[in-house]
Amino acid sequence: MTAGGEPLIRVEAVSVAYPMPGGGRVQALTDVSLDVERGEWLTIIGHNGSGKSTLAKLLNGLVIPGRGTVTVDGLSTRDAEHRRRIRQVVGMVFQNPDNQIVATVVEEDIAFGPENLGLSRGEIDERVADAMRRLEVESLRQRAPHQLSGGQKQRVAIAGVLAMRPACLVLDESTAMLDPSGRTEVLEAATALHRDGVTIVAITHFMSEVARADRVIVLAEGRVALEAGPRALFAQPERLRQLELDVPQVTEIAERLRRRGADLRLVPLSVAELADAYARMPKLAPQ
Amino acid sequence: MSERLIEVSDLWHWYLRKTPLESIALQGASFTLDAGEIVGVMGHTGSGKSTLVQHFNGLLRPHRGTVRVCGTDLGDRRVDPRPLRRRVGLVFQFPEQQLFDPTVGDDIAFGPRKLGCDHAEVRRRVQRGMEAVGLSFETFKDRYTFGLSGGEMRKVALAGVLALEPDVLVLDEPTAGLDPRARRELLASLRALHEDKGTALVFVSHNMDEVAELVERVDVMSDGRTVMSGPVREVFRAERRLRELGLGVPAAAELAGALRERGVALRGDVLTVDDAVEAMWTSLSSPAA
Repeated sequence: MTAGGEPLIRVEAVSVAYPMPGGGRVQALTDVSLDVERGEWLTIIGHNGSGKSTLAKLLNGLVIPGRGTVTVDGLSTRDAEHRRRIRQVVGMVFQNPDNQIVATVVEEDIAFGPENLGLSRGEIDERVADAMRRLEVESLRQRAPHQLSGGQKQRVAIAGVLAMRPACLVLDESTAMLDPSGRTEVLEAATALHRDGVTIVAITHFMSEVARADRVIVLAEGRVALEAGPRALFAQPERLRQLELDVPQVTEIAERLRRRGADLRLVPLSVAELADAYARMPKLAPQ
Repeated sequence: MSERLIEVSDLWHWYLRKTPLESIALQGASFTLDAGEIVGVMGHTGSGKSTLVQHFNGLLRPHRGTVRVCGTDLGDRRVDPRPLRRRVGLVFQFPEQQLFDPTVGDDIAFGPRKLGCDHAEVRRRVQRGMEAVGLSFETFKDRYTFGLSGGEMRKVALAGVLALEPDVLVLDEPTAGLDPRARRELLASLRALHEDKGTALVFVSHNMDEVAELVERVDVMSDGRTVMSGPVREVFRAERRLRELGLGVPAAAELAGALRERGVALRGDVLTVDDAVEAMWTSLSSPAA
């Protein structure tokens, strides 16, 4: 995290409601305040209908709050004239890659965003080449999107967003539809971008993905219910289950061994962490 | 011997056939399902899983090979597949695209009404379907479908197919996008449906943990072919092969592998959290070798 300065995104006392049949309204978010710091990886989890996607769409002005304000790089999303700028700063990647790819050739799809910024040809080409290199999709440049695997499509979608040179990438359940190798591809790509300084806001239902975050926010019923680092979060399995969530399988295995009396104090976040800790444990004395 | 519900052999299917954009989706796939079974189908994206299961209620017709479902030969073009759809319920990969009624209750009731159920029966089935996916009947029945979150829409679509109470339920990635509790509830209600009503299930997934937990037998597809098939415990022993196919093994099995590399051998197959806890506890408390 960059020290000092204002946060990249500030959400202040935001409420959002959607209409219901017969005139009522369903409250999607109620009085939510949070900051997204420059350079951090913030993961947002919460049950279905907890308001995660609404929150994601607030971050680049796709949803304008009924009450409260969202500012991106100092600009309010409420102000229509700032929205173009805001969407360059905050790029979104959604769940279904098929809905995000517009062109018939990979390279053209990645160039679509920068072409609409009125940049010179040279600048566009440079951005496309850079985005393709960083997402490792150069070898796919002439392919048609329908020939790609799910993970490849999602990397092409991210490359298209990256070519806009955003400061922040919002991944709204971008791994939900992918097979295991596709999920790994996308997570590795996001990790590399984060290492290069891109701020990541990730929304997921896979508890095993949460370990990558610097900070986790749990939404429930449209409010911020918890905020913690991944390890501190998964040290509270009962609280998470109350919030209709869970802990990763490795964390659950450790928790259950501990409850039986194993001397295992670690809250493991990965298979390797648990395997290391377990392999070091002494055998229990025969009773 | 139990009744054979689905039998697919040497199935071929092309998309945009006989056009310049022709692509092959299935090239010799096979599949069987007997009454009362739970069978998993795994495979990387584009391996042909969805194309295969769309043959099970006649949405797609075979271009080559045979597809027999509940005694009906779907290779015969004169056969009307519609009566079959009462027996074989299919939940698509993006089930929210199946929603069309403005309110949740009406959307789920559509199927049972079309089946000619009376009012009380429709209500019972809607309620049961909603409970099975963890949607409160009172809270959700009058909500607008378009005002739901993505995960909630998936639940509504699932409830709609469950309300048909079919003999065979085919679910294509049903838990994608669901929160952890909803996943657990859905798996539990599928198991209950199977045990109470004897519903046969086809569970298409690339979530290894869920396949390990729910299914008895699993087929693995790659490039339009069935490349592995067998009891789930046997298939998950082939970790390297599964990784080559773009898949993996359940987290518990991965842990057992990582322990083996560190010189700790656990007894038996470890596929689920329960297996891992038992095996690791046993190994800790058994006298040092």
